[in-house]
Amino acid sequence: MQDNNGAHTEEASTRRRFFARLFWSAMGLVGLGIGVPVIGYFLSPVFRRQRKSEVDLGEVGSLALETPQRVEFAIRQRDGWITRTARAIAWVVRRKDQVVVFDPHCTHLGCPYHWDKQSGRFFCPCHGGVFDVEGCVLAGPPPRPLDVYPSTVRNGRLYVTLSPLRQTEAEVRRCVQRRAPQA
Amino acid sequence: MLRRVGDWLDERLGTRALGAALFGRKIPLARGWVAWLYTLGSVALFIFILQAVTGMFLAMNYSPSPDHAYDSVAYISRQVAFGAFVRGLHHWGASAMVVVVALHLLTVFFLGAYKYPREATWIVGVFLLVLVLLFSFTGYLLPWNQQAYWATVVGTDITKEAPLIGPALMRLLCGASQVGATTLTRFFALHVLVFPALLAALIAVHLFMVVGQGVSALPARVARAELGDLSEQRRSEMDRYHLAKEAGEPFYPDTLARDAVAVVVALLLIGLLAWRIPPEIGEIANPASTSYNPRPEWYFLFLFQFLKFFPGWAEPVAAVVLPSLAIVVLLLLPFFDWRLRRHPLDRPLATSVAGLAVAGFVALTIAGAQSPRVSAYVPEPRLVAEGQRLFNQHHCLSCHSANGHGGVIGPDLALAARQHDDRWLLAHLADPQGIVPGSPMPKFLLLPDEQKALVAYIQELGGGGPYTAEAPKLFDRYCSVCHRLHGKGGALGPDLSSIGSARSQTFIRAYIGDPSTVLTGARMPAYLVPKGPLTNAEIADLARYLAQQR
Repeated sequence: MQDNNGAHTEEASTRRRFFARLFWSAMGLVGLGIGVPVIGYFLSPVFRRQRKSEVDLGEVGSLALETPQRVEFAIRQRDGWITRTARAIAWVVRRKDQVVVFDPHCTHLGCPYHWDKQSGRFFCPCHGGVFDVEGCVLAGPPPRPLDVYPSTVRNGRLYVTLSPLRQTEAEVRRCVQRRAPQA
Repeated sequence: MLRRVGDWLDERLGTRALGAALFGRKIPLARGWVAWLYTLGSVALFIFILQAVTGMFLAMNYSPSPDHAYDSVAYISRQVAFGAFVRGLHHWGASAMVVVVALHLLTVFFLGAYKYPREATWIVGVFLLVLVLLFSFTGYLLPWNQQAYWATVVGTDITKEAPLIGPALMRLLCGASQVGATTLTRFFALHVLVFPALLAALIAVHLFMVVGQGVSALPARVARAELGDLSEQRRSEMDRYHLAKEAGEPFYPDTLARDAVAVVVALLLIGLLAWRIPPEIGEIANPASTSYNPRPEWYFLFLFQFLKFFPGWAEPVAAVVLPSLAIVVLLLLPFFDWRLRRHPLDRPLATSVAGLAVAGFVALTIAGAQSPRVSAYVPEPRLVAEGQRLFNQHHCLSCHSANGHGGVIGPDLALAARQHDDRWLLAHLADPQGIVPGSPMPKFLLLPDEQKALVAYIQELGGGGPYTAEAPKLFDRYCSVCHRLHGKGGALGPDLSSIGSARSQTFIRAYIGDPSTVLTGARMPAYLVPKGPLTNAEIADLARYLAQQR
């Protein structure tokens, strides 16, 4: 290339371009070779789905009517590599003709709300969310009524599946209508 | 000898020239209190080293698994020599880091030091700030106590509300559909491996730029009329800078001495906090809790409070969009604020906007700290809490019952606690057949401190031990005006006939003493002297009496 001959320089620069390409494709290959498995490893939880089975919450008849009850129960739970029996809770409202089981996390940001007997309301301790006995939002930032766990009553016992569902459109509309006269 | 080693190295590596370039370089003078603002970068670097060193040693006793994380942190704080202090340094070091980095950023902002030619240094600095905040978010979870768990539940739930990718993002953070074992290992790996590597690399780049361009000189007032076009502005700024640098002080020892004093002050403050206010161990994370009041670490309280002002549907705006936008604005700041008038008084708009932002942050933080605790929560004493864990671990309720739940093979433990004293219960736990011949209860081989903890919990189940004949009289005299007990008494407060099955003796005691410390806005007055008429012993007696009403 230091040669005055033009052909030589040409050849040298083609060689150089080839080496540059070789270098970058080798690096790209290395990057992909490490990156794909590592990123797949890191992203995998996004695509893993957990199946939730039914839990027995006990006799329905023993629950007080119309007042939310904090029902504590044991579940066999798989958490990463740990399988353990853990304690979990749900808020259960028993009415004459139906039973509603609320997911115990506020629909705003998942804080653990509680039932206040005196005022007859659910209070969230974080950002001031308040719900009524039907789970409708009375105050604060929660975007929707309390989520519910699907539940059935068989032979007088209450069974729930611990995957929270949003309340149905009809329920939400009922909440909004109930709020309207106050507003 | 040392000289010869130096010569040997210099001949091979050119260390003398490197040293002269690094330590002999001139730094423009900054006088008075402003000179101390120039030490903040060095202080931040020092705190990074402090966090790295204390973190390495904390990791020697830490186990990132929900089964052991809490116990390993408690072990560090209670058993390891200097453990509480080292953990305290790391805990307060984290707070100090946020404060120092924020002040460093404000200094650079107010002095206009992010402008030409230091835009890239500023951008790297903004990334460093973000990394510091990510460090505190991931580190906060590691002790696996109630504070840690619930702050992380809220923190990860925020991402769930992000548009489109929200739920995927939350699963990515948690490593599962909720905060659990995989969240802890993820946060641990990020906190001790990924982020330190990134931070160290970015600090190296940041420092390379600082040394390369030189530390900025104090800004001079520049009248608008004096400003020429962009290239003129840059030329005169550089001319000014070279003059200031010529007339400056050597980095070593002048500047470094001031930095060293600031570093010592920072260490003293952090050490004092670590010594006087060691970080809490708290109660172990309990996903089934419904009475905890989740709060973030103080420097995220502003965001916590900020979220209250947004209706739920707009929450992603407050929690994700606005903070991201703030970061983007910081990143782009040198590009839309490029005029080389650096003095804060020459930039009234920028200066006042930043001042307002700081005032807003302070106001939101104060409001957040004062926000009401609507869940009545009193942590149980350590021994009782430990006893409760043993109680659950050994499945005592498989055979025994307590308050109407559990097995029928053994006796009701709440009743047993009322019939027997600590000595009897301890002896019985150690050797059931020795105390009750023919008892079907197995020996549990518990360690003495475990036995003590378990007995403490059983006593708590029974209402905290016997009460005196004075207790019912105290109730009639002070409480029955408002509270009903078995059909007698007022109706202003709740009926207490079965309070013992809902609340522990510890809770009742704290509540009677001063309800406002348990529940914001409680209507009941405080009864403990000096605010009220009752002594500690009287309230304890009354609490035991009430805890046994079921």
